[in-house]
Amino acid sequence: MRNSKWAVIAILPLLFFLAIFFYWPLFRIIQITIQAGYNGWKQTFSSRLFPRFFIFTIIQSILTVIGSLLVGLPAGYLLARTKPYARQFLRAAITVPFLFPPLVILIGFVVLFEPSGLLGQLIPSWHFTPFSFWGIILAHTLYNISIVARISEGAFSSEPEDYHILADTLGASWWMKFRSITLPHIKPALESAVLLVFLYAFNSFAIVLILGEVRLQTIEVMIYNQSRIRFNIQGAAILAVFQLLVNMVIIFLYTTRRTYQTGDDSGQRVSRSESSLLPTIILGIIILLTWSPVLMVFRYSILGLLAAPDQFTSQLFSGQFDRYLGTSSTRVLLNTLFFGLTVSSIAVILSTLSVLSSYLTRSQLVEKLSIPLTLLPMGTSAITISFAILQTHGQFTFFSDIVFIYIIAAQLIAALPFASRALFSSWQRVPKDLILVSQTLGENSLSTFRKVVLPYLKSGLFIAFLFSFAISIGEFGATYYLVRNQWTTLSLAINKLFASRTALLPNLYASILVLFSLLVFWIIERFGSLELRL
Amino acid sequence: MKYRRLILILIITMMLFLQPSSMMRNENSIKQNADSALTIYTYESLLADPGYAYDRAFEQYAGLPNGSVNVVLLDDAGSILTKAVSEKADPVADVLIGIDNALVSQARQQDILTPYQPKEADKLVSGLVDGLASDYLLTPYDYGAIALWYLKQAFNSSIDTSSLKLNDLLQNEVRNQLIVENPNLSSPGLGFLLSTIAMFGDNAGVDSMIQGGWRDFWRQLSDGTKLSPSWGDAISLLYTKEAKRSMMVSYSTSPAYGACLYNDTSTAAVLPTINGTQYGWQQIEGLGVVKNAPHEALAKEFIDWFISEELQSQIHLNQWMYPARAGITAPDCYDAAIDPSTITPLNDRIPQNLLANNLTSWLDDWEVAWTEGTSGSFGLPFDTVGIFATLILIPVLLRRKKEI
Repeated sequence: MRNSKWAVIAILPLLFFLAIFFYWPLFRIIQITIQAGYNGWKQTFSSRLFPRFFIFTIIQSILTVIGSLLVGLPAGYLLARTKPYARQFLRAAITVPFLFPPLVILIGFVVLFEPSGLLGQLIPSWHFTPFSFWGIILAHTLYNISIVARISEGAFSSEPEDYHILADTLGASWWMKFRSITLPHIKPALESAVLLVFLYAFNSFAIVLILGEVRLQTIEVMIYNQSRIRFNIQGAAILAVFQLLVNMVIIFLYTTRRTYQTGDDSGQRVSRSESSLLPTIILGIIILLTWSPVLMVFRYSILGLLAAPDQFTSQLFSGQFDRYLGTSSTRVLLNTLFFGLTVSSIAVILSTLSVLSSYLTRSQLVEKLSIPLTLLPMGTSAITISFAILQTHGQFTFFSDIVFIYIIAAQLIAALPFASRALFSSWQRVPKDLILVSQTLGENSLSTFRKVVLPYLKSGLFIAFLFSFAISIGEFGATYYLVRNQWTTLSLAINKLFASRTALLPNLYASILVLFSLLVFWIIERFGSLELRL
Repeated sequence: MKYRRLILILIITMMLFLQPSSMMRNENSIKQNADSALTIYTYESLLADPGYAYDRAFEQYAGLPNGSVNVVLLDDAGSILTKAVSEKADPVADVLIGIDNALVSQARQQDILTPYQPKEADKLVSGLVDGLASDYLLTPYDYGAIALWYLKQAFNSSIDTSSLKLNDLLQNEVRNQLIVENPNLSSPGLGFLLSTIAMFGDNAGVDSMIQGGWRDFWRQLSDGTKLSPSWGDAISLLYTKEAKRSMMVSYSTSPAYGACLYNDTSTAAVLPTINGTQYGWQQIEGLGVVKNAPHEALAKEFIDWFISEELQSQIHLNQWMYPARAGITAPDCYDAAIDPSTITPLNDRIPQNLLANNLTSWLDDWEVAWTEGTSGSFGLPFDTVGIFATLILIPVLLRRKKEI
């Protein structure tokens, strides 16, 4: 009895947070769509642009999935089944791009691929423009190769060796083996990857906002344009609810599919072969491709600094960009760190409390609550959340003064599902008999949690913290929607300086973000592994 | 031992927590002792090149301490409006500078400004107040015609400025070099859209001057023309040689900039003509007091000062427009600009109330025309992609059903 009371108390902060910053705003948006009535919905769906942009959103998502599979699957296969030189390094290098903030990828991508960019200068007949349908697909694909590669690698490498030996003995062809052993084995992982990439592309904001100009818009960009620029609140709310429904269907499919656990035990099937050159080269090319935007960012930072080494301090500390950025160029850095650390600390605290609650109840209650608690926030896009917050909290006179709290809240809603998943997977690894032993020896519940459970959660805590940090520093959509000048972050500053994309400062900012992401990745890999799944 | 690292991280976090909150305190204190301070929202290019520090000048004029006028620079007039609307419940800004005669109806609808007639209103060029806001919701501070500004060498012989027709912009060599600003976000962009509506006419009550429709015109322009989010972005693109974009929507006065500052006459401006007459949408830019502004009295003083001779004499050579105050003569280098007396304004063809009633639907139609273009596809055979995608999707969906 006592325990369940504490369990409720432990989960209260999370519920309280979600109620204020998520459920109330979301409820308001749904209310607007109900007030709009049949005619409002009809008007939105029968506008000339809706069908077009909806089809675009779907098609670009499908093509992104195809593109990511075409490159990501071979990469996953090569990592799992062959023995390239410097395998661990290649493996890490393929995974990291997942953590790169979208604005970093964007700025590097454009300066590399636009006709006046590096490729255009090297190849006179280069006519590809990133500001196009295929530009968006390519940028999305570069981003998502790492997800497919990492997830499929796990599946490929956990495939039982004996089946293949048996099949070989029975004279099965390569195709037979692939069809009847490999494919069924990797299928669940493949489906997870497909749904994850689809979800990502379907809700894409920054890449489509900038590369699509006005011609191409995802529903996410439409919600932004309608609510923030055209003040069409009703239309934007209808689009947001529609998008939420589609997302929930995808996430539902995803969670019902994710029944097959693939081991992350790399190297089961590789021991027999020697290190070979060909896979190393192919993987190297794939890595070069996914890293190319980041390399461009480094290139312009280094070129800029070589041209005038003192620019590093003058650009970051002189204040010559203050009016343009809306705040000082140093403050932009501090803001980003402030949001990152605050969001990740709160995310860790709230998720630890929900693990505690789950521990205290000894029931599946908390996990049963996971759909309203984590899946719904996950299915709600960044723009929808910030639009909803502005529609509710925006009416308060103190809104502008404490807007940083709302930015933190919006980023937190994005980070929480990942943080709590990292912690819950650590929680599942806690040997439950140890808890019983401890309690038999007379320790009470809380001290057992502190002494027995918490040490097991340590790596989970670190991963939750760092992952939330990475999500926060790279977040663009919600921050862009809500931000007031003094709270400008690195991603937003890059966007502001996008027109002068070969100049030093935006590239310097992007390089700083990349270095943060690399650091986060490096620490995560030391403490456990990056959980790419939801 | 085990928790030492965790504790360390938490301590560092707390330290960083303190950092921005102390910065916030600073800001709040500025806000609080800032009964004398003034917050201005404007666009980044206001009086910016080569630059006249109007904030410092006003502080001096009003006897305010240095730094008490806080200027917040936004991308363009549209962003000023958007930001002010989002803060309507609790205004941060006192003055908005840069809302023009095309956006004034939106500012009026959103109810973010309060009218104020400045002391020297009678010194303004006649017609400007009525062209912008006869109730002084906004006070005009400059004006100029929206024109196409281009690098001469890129169009050596291909443009005859004395007889350029609007439809000539659709020639490949022109539209592939043209940059237009998004009319949703940029006031010259919107001014140019309104020029096309004024000339082609519209069912809403605008008589047509030339054959064709403005929607079709934009549909065709969309193939090849570059859309830029702001005037500032457009100008960086114009001067990026590799981008090969040599013409942009700007002002009839833009060539004066190079001529006055660098004795550079390599650029020119051109307006569309009909039977030899040059037509242009005249943009009238204004500034106004924010409704429920924190410092309303000072905001009004600022507006009085903004149309004074002190500031208005800076317009020609820093803002590159014509000052709204009468009696200020243009420098000689302004000969490079299109002579304003030869321009027939299109503004009367779209009266304010017609504009207010139709702007939203015109912007919707513009977005449709721009998005669909002439090919109606995403830049590739649309049907091919659709069929391709469906072919892939159907077996996946069917399979899934079988399994479940």
